[in-house]
Amino acid sequence: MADVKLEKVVKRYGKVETIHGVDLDIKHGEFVVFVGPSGCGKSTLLRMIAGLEEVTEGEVYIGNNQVTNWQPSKREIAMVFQSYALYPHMTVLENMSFGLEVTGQPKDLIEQRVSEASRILKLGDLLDRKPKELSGGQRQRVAIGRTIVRQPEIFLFDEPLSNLDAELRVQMRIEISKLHEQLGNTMIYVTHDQVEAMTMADKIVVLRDGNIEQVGTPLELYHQPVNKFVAGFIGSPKMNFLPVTVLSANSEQVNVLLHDGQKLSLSCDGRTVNEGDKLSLGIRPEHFFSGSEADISLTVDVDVVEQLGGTTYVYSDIDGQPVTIEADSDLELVKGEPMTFSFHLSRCHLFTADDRRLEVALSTPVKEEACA
Amino acid sequence: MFELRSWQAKAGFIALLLLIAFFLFFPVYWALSSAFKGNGELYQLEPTMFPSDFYLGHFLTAISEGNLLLQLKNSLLTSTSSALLNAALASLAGYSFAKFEYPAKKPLMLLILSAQMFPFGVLLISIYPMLQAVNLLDTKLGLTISYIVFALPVSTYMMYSYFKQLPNELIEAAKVDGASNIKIFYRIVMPISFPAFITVTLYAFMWSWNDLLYSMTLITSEENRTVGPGLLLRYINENNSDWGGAMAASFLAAAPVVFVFALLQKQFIGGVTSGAVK
Amino acid sequence: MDMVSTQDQGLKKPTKERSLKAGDRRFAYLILVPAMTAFMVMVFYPFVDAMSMSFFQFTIYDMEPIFIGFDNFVTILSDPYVLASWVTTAIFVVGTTVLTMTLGLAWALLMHQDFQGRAVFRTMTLLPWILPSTVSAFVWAWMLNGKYGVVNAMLLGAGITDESIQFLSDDIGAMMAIILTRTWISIPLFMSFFLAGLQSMDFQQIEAARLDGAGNLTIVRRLIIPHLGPVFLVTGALGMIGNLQQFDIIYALTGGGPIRSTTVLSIEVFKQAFENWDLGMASTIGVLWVFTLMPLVVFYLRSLFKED
Repeated sequence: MADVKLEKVVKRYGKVETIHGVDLDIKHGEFVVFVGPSGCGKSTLLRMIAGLEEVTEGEVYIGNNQVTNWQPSKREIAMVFQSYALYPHMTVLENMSFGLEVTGQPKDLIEQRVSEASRILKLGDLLDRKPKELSGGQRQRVAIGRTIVRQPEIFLFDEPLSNLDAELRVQMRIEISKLHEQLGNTMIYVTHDQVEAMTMADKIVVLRDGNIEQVGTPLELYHQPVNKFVAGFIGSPKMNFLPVTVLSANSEQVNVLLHDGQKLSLSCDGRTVNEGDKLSLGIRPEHFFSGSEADISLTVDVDVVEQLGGTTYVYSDIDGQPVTIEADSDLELVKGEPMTFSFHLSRCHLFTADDRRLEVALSTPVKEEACA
Repeated sequence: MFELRSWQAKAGFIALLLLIAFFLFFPVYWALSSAFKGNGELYQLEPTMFPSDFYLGHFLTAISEGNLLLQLKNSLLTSTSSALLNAALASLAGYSFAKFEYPAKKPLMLLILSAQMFPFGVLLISIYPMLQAVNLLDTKLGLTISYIVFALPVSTYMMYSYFKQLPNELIEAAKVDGASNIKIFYRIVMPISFPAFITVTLYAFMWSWNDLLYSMTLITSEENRTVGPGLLLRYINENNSDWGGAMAASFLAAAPVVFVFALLQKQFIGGVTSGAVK
Repeated sequence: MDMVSTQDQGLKKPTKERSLKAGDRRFAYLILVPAMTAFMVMVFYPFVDAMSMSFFQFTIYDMEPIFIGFDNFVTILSDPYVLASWVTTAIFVVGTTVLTMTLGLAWALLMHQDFQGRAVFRTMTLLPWILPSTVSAFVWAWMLNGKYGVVNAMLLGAGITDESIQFLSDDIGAMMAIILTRTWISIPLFMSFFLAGLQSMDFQQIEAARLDGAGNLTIVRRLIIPHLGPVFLVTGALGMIGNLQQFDIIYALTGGGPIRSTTVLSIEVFKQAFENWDLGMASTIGVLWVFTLMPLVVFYLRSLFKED
């Protein structure tokens, strides 16, 4: 079994610390995605699991072994790199068999594994080609093929789709998901693209500045982000944040004042906030309704309208904060004209000034929604 | 790059082109044409542009008398083996400097590169007795080893800067695949870097091939003599009047390498410049 | 080899020797050994040994080197010959470097222009460089021959001189000859450096300037030369280092003469060491030589490592 465990893992380059004591558990068979903006440490973390990067402090476990100082080849891992890192002087066949060959596997085993991998990835016709004769998508497949033949316990992916065009990216995303279903191995996947994270992961690890911000299933992160960073990072377009002021707060309810004087009453644990505190009210663009049928209505001037056909995005601002609204596509919207929209209180999140999300009040019966 | 619409611009461009081209190429032409002139035609006060009758006598004597072919063989042997040795050492050291991190790296690299500060003539003062002590004076092996002096520092830097731009992911992929450092080096890194290896070999070859100082000092016997000193001793003496022979022998001595470079020149120009200047 | 058994997992902290990259570092040192050994034996030791010889009297009459402190330095500093050869070196180095860089740049500019037959010119440019030094020296010695040389024939024919110039037996003529020959040999390499610099230039910049009405000369002066500035500095240093080291051409062409008019430091050291067999004196002049080279090498290395 190939559980992966990180224990207080720290990475320092000289005096600069880039990973600040990360703890993480990954169960066998899970598809885990590390996601975060560039420089958050997601690739470093993956490379430490791979054994390509030294761990300054803390330990890495794979299965029952403490592998912190093991060479990559001993860890039963295989990795797909961002640039694919195919050996340019070897054919596809040689690329795929290299790993088995250098570790001294018998010829017939190599042959059998390679033909199986090329069947799964439909590489049959390409085996005699050199990498430079392949398209981006084909190179990607070979890079994956090279990992499959080795039958590792754990697959590691370092931003594998970032060099592909949009269409191919979607296609490969699906193929990798299928592969995971087929093989059932542990897969750890690094990306800066939250769509890839949401669509592929069993479990998402959101990182920022060398710390884990939140670990959870895609829907957990979507519905219960622990802070504004995660809330803003997961979901597209980004969640809107409106400034509000606390009027009163107790363990079950927080009453806040919106910029236009409307009072909102949210069922949250407000014991940590005081009257007069400035909070952020988070609502996702897709949770707005055109018109005033929901709990709270607001009117803004339309700034920019983007019509995508199926949906329409309206950009405006409220009290200096940019706001994005997902509106019905059949709505006639004119730039500069006022527009009324509304939202339900049950879809709102409250974030404190020090970037925590207020927990849903204990007595609240609603579970699925964030702040009901 | 230049806009050559007006006739003045065109004329200026062509004039400059012809002027420098004349300076660069005329000497070669002149040497070649002189080699085909008989002594009568050669030693007249108003020289002829073209040889009047293609006289081959100089070539025949250049080969039949003296040891030109033996010297050429010695030169090619010492230059080629020292160039290959040099390129091998430079590849290993350059790879170490380019792809690994260790505390002594920078000082060692600076030490090797600062060798350009050590004049070859000064080093020879100590190399001479050193070779004498191990009985390598006046041997092709001794000369081959001494030629390391010329090209090793810059060759190491050239390989270093080539390896530096090889993607790390390639090496890491091989590592994850289970290849040892040695296997990564000769199965992945060197096959990819073959063009750089050839460039460095040619570069080092040119140093030893052009050398006069070391070959003149470290080789004393006729049997081990190389082309440079060989030509010098044969044609430059008190009554140095055999210019036709000197030109013919020069042409023969230069021909094999000119041929090799004609084949490889394209890659070579790019390679040398990428190493020495960023 | 770095395995930790399951019982004591979590207890062992990574120590330096057992750390992940220790094997890599061992390998890195290992593959450095051959080159370092060759360097130490063939370059570094001889250098230190030769330098230390400058404190000894060691001639063909001495069985063993005799320590004499700074006496050799006192001798050479009051020796007009040594100082003269330093000046001769300076003239040769500066003259050759300036001429090489000027012609090298001009040739690179010409070879950067797209015209029919350029490829042939570019290929042929390498010729002077790949000829053995002795051959180049022969070629020029014959061209500059005082009696039958084609250069004299051309000068006479054009009416520039009335009588043949004895290039190689004249002080100034000999210096001109070695500068010219060395320049001829060096142009190919310098053209390559400048050409690489030109090829890295943004072509749109030139086109924009042309739309602004700039002519050919303005473009060279205001765009190309500033762009090549760093290349000039580095190739200039490199060229001077190479010319300071130059021995072969000068020895083959003039042997340092006539009298001592082309005896540069390299020739002087060679003559002291291998004709007079005065190793102490040769080494002392070598020290002077090293100190002349040092600032150039330091400058060159610094520009190479600036970005690292």
